[in-house]
Amino acid sequence: MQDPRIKRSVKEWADRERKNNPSFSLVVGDKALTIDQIIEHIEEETELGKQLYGMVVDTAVALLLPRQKPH
Amino acid sequence: MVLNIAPRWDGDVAVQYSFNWNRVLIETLQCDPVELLEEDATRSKFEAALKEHAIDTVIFYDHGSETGLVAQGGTGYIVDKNNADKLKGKEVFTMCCLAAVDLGKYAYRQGAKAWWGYTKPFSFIPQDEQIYMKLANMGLIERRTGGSWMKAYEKTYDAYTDTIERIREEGGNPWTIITLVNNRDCLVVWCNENPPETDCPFRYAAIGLFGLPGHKISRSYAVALSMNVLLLIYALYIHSSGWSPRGVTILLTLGGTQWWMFRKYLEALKT
Repeated sequence: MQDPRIKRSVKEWADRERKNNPSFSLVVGDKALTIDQIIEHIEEETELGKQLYGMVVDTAVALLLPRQKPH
Repeated sequence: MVLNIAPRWDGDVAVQYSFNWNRVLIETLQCDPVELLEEDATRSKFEAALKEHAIDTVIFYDHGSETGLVAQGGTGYIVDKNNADKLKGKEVFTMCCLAAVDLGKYAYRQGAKAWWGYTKPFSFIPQDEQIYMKLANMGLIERRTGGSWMKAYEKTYDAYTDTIERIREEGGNPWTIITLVNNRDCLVVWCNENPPETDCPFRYAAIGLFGLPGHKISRSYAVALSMNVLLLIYALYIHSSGWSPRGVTILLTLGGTQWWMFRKYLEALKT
């Protein structure tokens, strides 16, 4: 289950990005995603959407609770 | 000598970028590699190149999965578990998704000296291409300028962290930060300084018994070890019930198996 606060933050980012940087794209593996496609995948909780959502959560954790450099 | 492999085909965005990053890497290294680019990036040409040249380092840029390095056109694999043994004694530097999860570990256990790669999908923002390219290429550049694989890993990890912090302070795009954190945290190097962990109880026992060579003991070797223990028990039984031609045959077989295992053990120690 996805946290609605994270979904809302991603949507707010998308709104800003559409105005300021509409040509933005994100490449994950072999897929290139536009702003709308990012939102669509996260909203519909597709496999890729879950992966993107996981990346957001992982980043939040990594930045707030940095771990020791792995070996 | 370096073997550089970089497929590229139309209709796939990621390979256009990674191919260019690979060209920049080769220019930076100033080496004279054997190259398998685009249409030449096939399994048969890879295996032929390893036979024809004394390759010590293999570079691969483009797509990967947990079990293979994807060949030209996106169909089939250049390297998978069926030919990973050909990487024995070589250092492998990959810039592709996922292959370090399974194939990289397997190749290391089959005798590859090192495997540099990623355990999750590699992601990037094309608008910030230069940042990703610099960090993706950094490991091999550090390694080739005299550092160990672990030193190269530590420098690359720190460079990722510094870049992430700088972009945060500058209020950069959050997806640039997200992808950089993701790429940094799924970057691994499997080498003797950092062998992959195992969840196999038999390999865990082998590591306990033999130390580092235990990481490289193959399944056939483990089976032979078990067979040998059974033969030993049987031979003791024969011995305790008196010598016979049958008992001597079994003891000779046991000796041969032990000799074979000893040679395998020595080979594992060398790599």
